[in-house]
Amino acid sequence: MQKAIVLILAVLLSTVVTSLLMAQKMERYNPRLAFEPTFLNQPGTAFRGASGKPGPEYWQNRGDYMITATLDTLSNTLSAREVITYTNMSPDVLPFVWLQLDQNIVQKDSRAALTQASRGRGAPETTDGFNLKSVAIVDRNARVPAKYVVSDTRMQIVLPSPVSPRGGRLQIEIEYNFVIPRQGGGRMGRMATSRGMIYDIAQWYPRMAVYDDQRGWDNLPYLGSGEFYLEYGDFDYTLDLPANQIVGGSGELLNSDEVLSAAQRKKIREAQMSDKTVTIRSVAVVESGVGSGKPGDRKSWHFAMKSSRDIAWAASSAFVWDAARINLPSAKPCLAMSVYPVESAGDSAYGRSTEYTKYSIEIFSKDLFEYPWPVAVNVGGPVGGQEYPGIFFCGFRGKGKELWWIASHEIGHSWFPMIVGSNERRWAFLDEGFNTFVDIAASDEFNHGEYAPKRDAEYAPGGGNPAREIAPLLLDRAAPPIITPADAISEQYRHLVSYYRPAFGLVLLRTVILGPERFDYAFRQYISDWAFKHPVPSDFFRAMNNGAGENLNWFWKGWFVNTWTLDQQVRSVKYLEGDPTKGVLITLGNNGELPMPVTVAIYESNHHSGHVQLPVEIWHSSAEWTFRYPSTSPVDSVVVDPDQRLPDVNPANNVWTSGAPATRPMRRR
Amino acid sequence: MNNRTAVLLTFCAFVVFSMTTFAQESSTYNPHETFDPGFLNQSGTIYRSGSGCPGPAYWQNRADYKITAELNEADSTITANETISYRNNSPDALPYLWIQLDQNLSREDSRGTATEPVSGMRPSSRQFTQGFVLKSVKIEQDGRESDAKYMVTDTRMQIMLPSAMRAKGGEIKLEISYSFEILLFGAGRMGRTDTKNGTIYEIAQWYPRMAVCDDVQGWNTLPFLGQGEFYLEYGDFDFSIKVPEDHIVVASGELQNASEVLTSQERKLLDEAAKSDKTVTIRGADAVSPPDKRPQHLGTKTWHFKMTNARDVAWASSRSFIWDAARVKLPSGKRCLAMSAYPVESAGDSSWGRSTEYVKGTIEYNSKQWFEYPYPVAVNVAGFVGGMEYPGIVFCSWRSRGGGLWGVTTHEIGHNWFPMVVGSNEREYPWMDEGFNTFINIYSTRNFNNGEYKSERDSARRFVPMLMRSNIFPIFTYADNMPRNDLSNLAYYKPSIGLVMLREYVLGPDRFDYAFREYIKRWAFKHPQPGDFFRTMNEASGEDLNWFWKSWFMENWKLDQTVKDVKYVDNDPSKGVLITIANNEKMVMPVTVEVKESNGHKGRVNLPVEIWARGGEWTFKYPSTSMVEYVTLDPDHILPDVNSDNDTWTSGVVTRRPARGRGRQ
Repeated sequence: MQKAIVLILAVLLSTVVTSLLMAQKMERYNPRLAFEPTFLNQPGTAFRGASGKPGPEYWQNRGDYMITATLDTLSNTLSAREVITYTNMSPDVLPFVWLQLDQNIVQKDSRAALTQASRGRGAPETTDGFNLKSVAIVDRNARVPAKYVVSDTRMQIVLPSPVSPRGGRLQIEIEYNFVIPRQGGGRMGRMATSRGMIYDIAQWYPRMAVYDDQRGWDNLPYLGSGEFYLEYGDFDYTLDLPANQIVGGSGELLNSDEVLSAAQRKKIREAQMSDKTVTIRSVAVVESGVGSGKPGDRKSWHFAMKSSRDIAWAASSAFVWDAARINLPSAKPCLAMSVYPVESAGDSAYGRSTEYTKYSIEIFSKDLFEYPWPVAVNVGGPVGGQEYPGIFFCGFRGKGKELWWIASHEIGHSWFPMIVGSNERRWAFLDEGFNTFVDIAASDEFNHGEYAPKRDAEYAPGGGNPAREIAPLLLDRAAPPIITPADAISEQYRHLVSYYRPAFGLVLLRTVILGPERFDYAFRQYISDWAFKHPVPSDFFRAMNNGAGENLNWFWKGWFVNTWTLDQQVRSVKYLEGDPTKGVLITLGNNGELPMPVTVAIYESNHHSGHVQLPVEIWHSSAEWTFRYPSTSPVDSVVVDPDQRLPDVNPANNVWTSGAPATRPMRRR
Repeated sequence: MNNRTAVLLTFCAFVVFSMTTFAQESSTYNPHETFDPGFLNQSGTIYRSGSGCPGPAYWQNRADYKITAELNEADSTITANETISYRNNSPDALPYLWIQLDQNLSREDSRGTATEPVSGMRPSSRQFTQGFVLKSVKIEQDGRESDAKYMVTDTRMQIMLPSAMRAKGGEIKLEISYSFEILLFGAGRMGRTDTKNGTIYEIAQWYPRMAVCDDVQGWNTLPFLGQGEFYLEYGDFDFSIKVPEDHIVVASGELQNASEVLTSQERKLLDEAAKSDKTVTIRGADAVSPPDKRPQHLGTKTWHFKMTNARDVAWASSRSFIWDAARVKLPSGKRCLAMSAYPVESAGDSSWGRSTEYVKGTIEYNSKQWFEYPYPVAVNVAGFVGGMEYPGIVFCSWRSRGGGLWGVTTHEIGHNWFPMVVGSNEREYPWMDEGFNTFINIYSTRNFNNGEYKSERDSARRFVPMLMRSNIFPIFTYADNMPRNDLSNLAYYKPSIGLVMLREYVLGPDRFDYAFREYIKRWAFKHPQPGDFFRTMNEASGEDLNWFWKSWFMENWKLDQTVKDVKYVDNDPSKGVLITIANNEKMVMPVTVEVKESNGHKGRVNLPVEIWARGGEWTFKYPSTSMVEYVTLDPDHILPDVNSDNDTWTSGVVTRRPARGRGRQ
């Protein structure tokens, strides 16, 4: 009797457990959810149009920065004085402003230190972050000490009088210094080389937070994983350093006659007319130490950059330096440069860095939007891969195809987010994903596909078919959706969710759903409409819907907002009137949550084969679709997605075979 | 079996039993979900106000069309030239335009063809055409003419402009030269009908036209798949149609050159009809000549029409037409003519002989009740097309008779209100035209000729079986996303019954009618969104009806109200009763309770919907003085309660169900 009870209880328990499990595992296609009419259905506003363009009243605030900084290479400290001119173009009165103090990430109890696992390299070092010597507001020509509060990497200044709307101006003067960490949040730092310290300097000045029409002040703290959201403006910065330093910086060097030798200036002029890389400071010169000046000598390098959201620079006495011209569609002058230590020299490494820089910019300018700045510098140094307007930090160990991929990726960031100024902290995919996407084409186009196809840590690292490699991610219930804020995505998912998945989504959109002509037209419209502005994801979705003329909401919802899976299936094949000469009725199933257009290949025993393309609308109201195919002989096999372009999580059910041994279908590559 | 075992087994059985019954009887009602504070909570914009009015900066683009077309009977084609004058009133520059090429649905490679469900095992006998054959597409912009750069994808054409159209008033002209073959049966909305005296050509979707660019989605580019209808801009039309000289042409708008195309007798009869409430025959069966009596070489005639402030024009042409007309009496006294064109097969008073009377009756009632018909003519055309509407002209089945002909005519003519005047997006929100039209048809039918064709079909109870389906789509579904078999329920009947309940049960006719007229007035010749309708009804009736919009339109929720308990106060039937009612499913409704006492007294209590705002149960006191025989909810059976078994509580003394009564008026 005991056994019977145990049996009954076991049956009960297993029934309950099974039904619970089934409820979780069954991902049934729900057309109501896929084609939800309330998704992206809100009217446009005066600020952001329904068509995905900035609205007629679109506004954006502006930050102009004037900085004079002194680098002390003995104490590795940067001291500076900056004047921020902030213009309030919003329709609102601003009684306070927020600034970003990104160096505070390196403080001992920063929010980043307390919440994030270290980004990997070495023991966590700490500094005091920004040491603010003085903060003042210039109010009607009088300098007034500012009333401010610092909270982690954010500073609020309560203004003596509010900034008026639609053009009101504010001037903030800050004197500060900070110790340059070896690793500053993984995006700046310094490293010793045989010939001197390399300084990769970024997040080096307090800057305005963004005030926008979405949420007013956007004050997410700098936690390490999420990057930046910044205003556009003009920069003017002067760097005082030892005379032996070579500096690469965002923007254009204005006083080359004061800081460069005649020989160096001559080489630069040569480079400006040369498609082949011209050496400005050779390995030999670096190793000989010639031209360093006397110890104690200092130089002031003066740079300026217009219409930018940030500036960064690198300095070292150890830099080799070369350059070549970039050919832009408008023929405006533009120079590609590289600076790197002798350890990175040679054509299998940074010797080709300028070539990679030049061609990346040329390809992206032709395909997307013309590069708007006069210079692009690639720096070989301590930072493995980080982008800034006009300057890129790549790891000094980079070689061959890895160097090409990392360099072209960081350069690609010039478009996303340096030109199309999205909020990297909230929506990493708008820059990382879009950049990874355009990198794919750049790798195909560079030097007759020398490094094609792009397969690296950020895109199909296994090296095979990206559509197949991404399937495990679709099945992973713990994977966050693409739209998740950057700091809410754990490191193990960062590349998969913010780079690979969105890039592959755009590949699907371009090659399967829309076709290249419609996609490219709409994508370029999006870029030019939002150049030097702040788009949000729905602006992109609407821009593509309008420019391509397709309601793609099911795709935005399924791929970007949710983590839906795709599982297409051939369910059955039946001859009309039971007669193989009269054609077949093929029934397809859509088992996963995501619908997709379908390509079906049919192979007949008479060696005829055909392709049928079915639009996504077949899935409007049902998970099953039946269509006729005019075959005239027995069908050997029916295959959905014969070219394996789709991320189907269950490819086994993509193929139906008659079981007839005679002719097996040819496997298409 | 020992005691312990028995106890254990009983316990297990109980667990299983209670789990299953719990699943059946537990309430799904969550007041926070039904009275959702987030629903319709977005601020208005400067384009669409929070009140449901067009906002202070509401804009709409405009398209005027000039078309000259020729009907070629020999190969069933139409060849035409059109000039579209498009005006960009939006606040955005437009670098490209989208055009609708609806005839492309008839192509074999169209998306509509690919999404047509297979019917049965027989091979298809469908015919295809090339769709629109575009001979040339030119742009005239800023005084310069150029060939348009364009790309056609299915039923959409994108024109990339050499320079963007200026915002707030930029203008452009598109000149398109094209032709297309008239299919026998074009997506159920136009085609050819062979009758004994000649082919009837019912012509629609016959010119490339602008897609709508609005402030909600920008360009509206959903493809024409067949099930979803249209979304169009307003403007003026000027069109000329060249047909064989023995054809009669009827069209949207007003004939401009009667003296060129009509005989003096026909013109005289038309003038007579314009003053006559009785139908006047303009061209009778005797004037229709059979094929063997026709002259050998026919010339052509060109019929010239104009229509102002419309979103579309259609026409029909045939040598087989009988043609009659009568005047329509509009409230303002403006001149208006009701007309009918039909072949001899449909003649007679049990059939199309009364068509003009039906058109006139519909327009007069709707103009008095809701909004004055704004066009000078309304024509009903008989042919293959079962029922399809265009501004000022409708196509109804030539085989329709009696009540069926009244029904289809009042429905298609009713469409002049929704969507021809109130220009909603039919493809995304089919219920805003089909549902609202079916609703007004109920009243035009009740009021026509002393209720000659009145039917009792407007009952919410009919929907109970449909509402019981757990996977039913909600009303708020795009037209092409509704399963074909559910289209009429979801787009036509469910929304119309919802409005009947709102009018006759929730608000009352006075408040409802005032608000509904306000909606029509606000959005006449404009493009309302669902939110504009909901907000207008809320505001003009003075009632936050969001619980209703959400329950009935947005979700597929069910209504299940029940009498849970009846307890005498102090256990004394002379002291009254505490009645507890419950709302088990997610939909809520105000409640009518009827209480019958053993002393013969019967009374009713009306409880407002707010009783459900905080929970799914409500207790109230009823001042009975004797034992209660029954307590019943919805005594007039108005509501679509999915479980009417639990609507009534009886004391057990009387078992008969209360009789059916008339609804609240």
